[in-house]
Amino acid sequence: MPGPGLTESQTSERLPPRGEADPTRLLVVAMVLAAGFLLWETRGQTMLFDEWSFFADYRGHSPSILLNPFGDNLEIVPILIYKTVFALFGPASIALRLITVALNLTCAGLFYVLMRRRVGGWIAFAAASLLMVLGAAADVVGASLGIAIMTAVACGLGALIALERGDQRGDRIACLLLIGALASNSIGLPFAVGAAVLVVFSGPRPRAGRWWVAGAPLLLYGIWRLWSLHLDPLGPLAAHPTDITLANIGTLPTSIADSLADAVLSITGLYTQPGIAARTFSTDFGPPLAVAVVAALVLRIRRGPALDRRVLAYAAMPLAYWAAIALVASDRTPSVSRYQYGGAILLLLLSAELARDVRIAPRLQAAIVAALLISAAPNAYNIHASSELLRQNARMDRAEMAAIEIAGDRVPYDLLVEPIGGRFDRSTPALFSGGQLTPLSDALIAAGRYRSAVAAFGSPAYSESELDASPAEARAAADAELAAALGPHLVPVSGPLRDCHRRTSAGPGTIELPVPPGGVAIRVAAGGTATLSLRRFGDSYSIPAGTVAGGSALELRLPADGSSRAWGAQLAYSGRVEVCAP
Amino acid sequence: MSRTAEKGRGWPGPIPLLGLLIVGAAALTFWETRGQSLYADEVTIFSSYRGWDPGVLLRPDGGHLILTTLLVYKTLWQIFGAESYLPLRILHVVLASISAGLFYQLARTRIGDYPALAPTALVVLFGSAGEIVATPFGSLAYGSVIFGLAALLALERGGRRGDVIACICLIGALASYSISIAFLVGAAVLVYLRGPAMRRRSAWVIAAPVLLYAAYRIYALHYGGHGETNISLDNVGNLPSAMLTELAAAAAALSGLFRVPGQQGVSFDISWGYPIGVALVGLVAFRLRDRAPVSPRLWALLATLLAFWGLIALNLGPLRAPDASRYVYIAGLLMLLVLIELLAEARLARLELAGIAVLLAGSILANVVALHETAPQYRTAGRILRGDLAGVEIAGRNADPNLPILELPDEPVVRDLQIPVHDYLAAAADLGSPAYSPDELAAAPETPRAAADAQMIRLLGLHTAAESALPPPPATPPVATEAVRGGTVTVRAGCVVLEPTGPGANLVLRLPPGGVSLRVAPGASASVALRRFADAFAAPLAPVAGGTSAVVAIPRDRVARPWEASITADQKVEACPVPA
Repeated sequence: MPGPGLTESQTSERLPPRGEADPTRLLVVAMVLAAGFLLWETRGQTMLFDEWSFFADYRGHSPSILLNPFGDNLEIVPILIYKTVFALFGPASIALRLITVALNLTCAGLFYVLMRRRVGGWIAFAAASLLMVLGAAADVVGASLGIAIMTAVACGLGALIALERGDQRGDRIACLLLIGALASNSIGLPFAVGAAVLVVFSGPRPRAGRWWVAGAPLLLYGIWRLWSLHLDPLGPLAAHPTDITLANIGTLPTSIADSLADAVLSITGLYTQPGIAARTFSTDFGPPLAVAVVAALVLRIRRGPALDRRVLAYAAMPLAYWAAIALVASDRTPSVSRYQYGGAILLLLLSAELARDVRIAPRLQAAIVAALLISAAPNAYNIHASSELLRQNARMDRAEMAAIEIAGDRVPYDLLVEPIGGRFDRSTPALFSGGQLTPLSDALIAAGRYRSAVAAFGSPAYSESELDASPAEARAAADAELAAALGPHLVPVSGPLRDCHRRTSAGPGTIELPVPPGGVAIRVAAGGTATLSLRRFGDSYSIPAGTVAGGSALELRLPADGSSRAWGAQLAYSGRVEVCAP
Repeated sequence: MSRTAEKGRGWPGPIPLLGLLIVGAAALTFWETRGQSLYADEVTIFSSYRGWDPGVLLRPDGGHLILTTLLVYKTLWQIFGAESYLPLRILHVVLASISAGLFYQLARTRIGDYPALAPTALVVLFGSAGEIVATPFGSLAYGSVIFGLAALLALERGGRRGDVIACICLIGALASYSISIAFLVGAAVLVYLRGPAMRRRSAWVIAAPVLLYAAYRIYALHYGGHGETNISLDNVGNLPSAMLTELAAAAAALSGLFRVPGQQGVSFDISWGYPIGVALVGLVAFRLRDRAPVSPRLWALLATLLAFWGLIALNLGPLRAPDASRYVYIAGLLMLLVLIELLAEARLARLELAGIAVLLAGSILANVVALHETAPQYRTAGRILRGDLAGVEIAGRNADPNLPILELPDEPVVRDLQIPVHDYLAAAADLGSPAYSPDELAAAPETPRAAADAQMIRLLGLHTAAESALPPPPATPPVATEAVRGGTVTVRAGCVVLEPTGPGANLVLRLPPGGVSLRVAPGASASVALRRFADAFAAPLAPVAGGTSAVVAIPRDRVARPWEASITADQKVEACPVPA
């Protein structure tokens, strides 16, 4: 028997009042507008984080590659999507952006269907519209990085819709979609948990005979999890071992509460910071808003009509999701952008389920619709602000990769294209660190693997002419990358010096000179000193090559590489120096 | 809620379950407090409250009358000695268990025998109140809570016997910790709500402890600074903010929402406490506005809680922050009792009960982890203190007896911890030593060993004393070289001569009993640092200027372990033994 406050599941659907307009067509218009907005905002971006690993590290089609965990996630479906795109269109095409937008619209459409059945068309329309431009989750909706998460969410939402059919065909579709969700990203887990609770507590009987709907996907996932334990991660980006510590367990309540607060902030758009024209995620209003949501929940339980048992499934989903974040993500806070997408969807679905049989007065409905649509404004702005940062990051990535390609065979195979913390002290702040703007180093891939992937799929990097035309910061990043790849430095002279030009300065002096293909030698008279700095594509001499002490001579030899562009040198000296050909 | 309905078939009775819970929690707490030692005020009680004279027993500690605590501690030390912390660890878990038992008794009368076990579990494992729950130091506050809760129970029991017990308990509470004034306020509300006739007849229950305590406060004035409170105009002005912070701290602790995601180790963030605390205040206000009569206990608990927060707020100062974990225990316990009063009157659906159970389980989880993470901090502090005290004992009579045993800032808040060496040594001679023995110290971790070295250097006043004419070195024993870096060493007539091969040459010497004389060749100053038990050298002594001589004289003590000196210099240094 259900307890007080819970009823057996009904197949009720909130029908629009007679004469009320159907907002579905309006949603299609919103989708078209959102698609245009997102395609425009994502211009100039390139791949990010996980995608670089899919490009360079997940090479081949063997099961140990396709099923290799990425940061504890099974991501075979997105990996296959990326492999197909790379094979057909290369890594620099618009295809990934189009897929991102298509997945975004698919999720919004499926979400609309689920919401509409519970709270009616207009609130569903507003919520789905907000979801399409959910800037709190800019990493997901405003970058192709979101392909994995949105694939899993689309499958999960589809599974929930299929389960609501209440027939065998629906069960079979749901089972397949849950497998797809779990094979796309771990965000599929809460959908599988929700489906399991739905099957156990509601839906047509006999329930025991339907265990496989969620049981089979979860079982397969469990088998994969155990099997994958013996696999080594494919590159540093993929390595994120599960780290369930006692501290994480103790932090479970706070982390779940924070996740709830962050989801409320994402939905309301109250995470922006007045006066700051940049991507932000301020959590100041989160706790009071979350307490208000819990108070509303208590009121709903106490004052509203009896709840459908399905509410248990819709409550289990966000709880499972947030608990998983709390337990596994020891190095990430719940306010990380990528967690907001799932958090907002699952909280909105739970809210809708709670409101299923509640009579929503027209004025309240109008207020909810208005609030959701107003929230779309700060969220869309956050996509805009985030996209600008990602474009800047893309310019840096493409310049650095151009440098790797120019360096060619001379670059050490294991050199990371962008080591943690970055190689170049850039002025561009980045994102993804608990709301703090910190330098972004997303391309943690070995240069050798990168070059191999370029040979197979084509290059995402700037061509040399594009690099020449790129902003100064990107060119300086390319120089830093070349320095790391080629390691230009002064060595003792190996033979007699010729064509020497003498300079003398009592105080500090500076010489700028092109470095000829054969290199350059510097001799400093006793009592003096000279420090050599280099540049190639950059405006400033940002690469230190070494110092020549008084009474000694050193030479710089630069290896030939894929570019004919000459290196430039700057010599800061005191005393008497001679610049010669070695 | 029907109490019969809640009894499941085949369930063990609530008392065995309560026993299991309390014993389990006591075992966990006892385990977590392993390796701890005297902490903060306990050192004061040990050293400064010697003898059984009333003048000693009534002397305030940090402004508090701590008579009952003194009696218990002194009795335990008298019987078992102070060498082992075990009796105090046992006392701690016993007091925690009694406190939880009394809480359970209050809770079960409202929500039933079985449901009352859940909040009791939170009280007995309330790790966010680490200063009370995670260290025997918390015993200082348990007396107040135990007597206070017992007084409330006795007053609710009523009758002549109940009143007498309540009166005694209130006196006991006030004699344990000044914060018990809050329980006195709560008890006064209970007596007041008995109605005019009963109120007059029971007034003595409150009047007696009030008069006794007032008399004591007047008497305590003669102790001077020890009897002072922290009440100030600043604290009066900050009262609302401080009370809101205290509310937030208790709400965060009770909800379990005090940890910081992504942060390993101890954390206590009260951001969540503000909205939760405000929501709870709203809930109470909503209940008080309701036409249904409010139970006397709810009024009494609210009065106690407000008085408690008010007293804390008025006495804030350095080391007395409004969200200090020792205040969280009492406030959390009282808030939990208020919530129980509110919930007992509400008809809750199963879903709501399930929700409350989940929240409570989450809070217990967070608090248990907090207990586990906090206790080692006291273990570390205890080890360092034992090292400090070992340093005091080794320095012994060679130390200036009036120097404080711990080097603390000269501020009123730590005045009671400024214990002279002679007081500590006398207490250790009477009751036994809580310090490491020299052998234990040698086997202890580096931190306490370094603490002992620093203490000995400070208390013995070891320094580089400039000497224009060094005495001739005695025949034995010579200075022994332990290590040399950046130079060469030659030995001449018991002396060691360091000849640097470059700047910053370093020589480590094992010193003879009397110490060492240093003759530094002209040039830069040479630095000298000492160690005895630690691996690392303590902070350097005053440097010896180039071209001068100095002596580091070391008095003889009861430990044979030699001192070692690290000498760093750019030029030649000659080190010779000096007579003991």
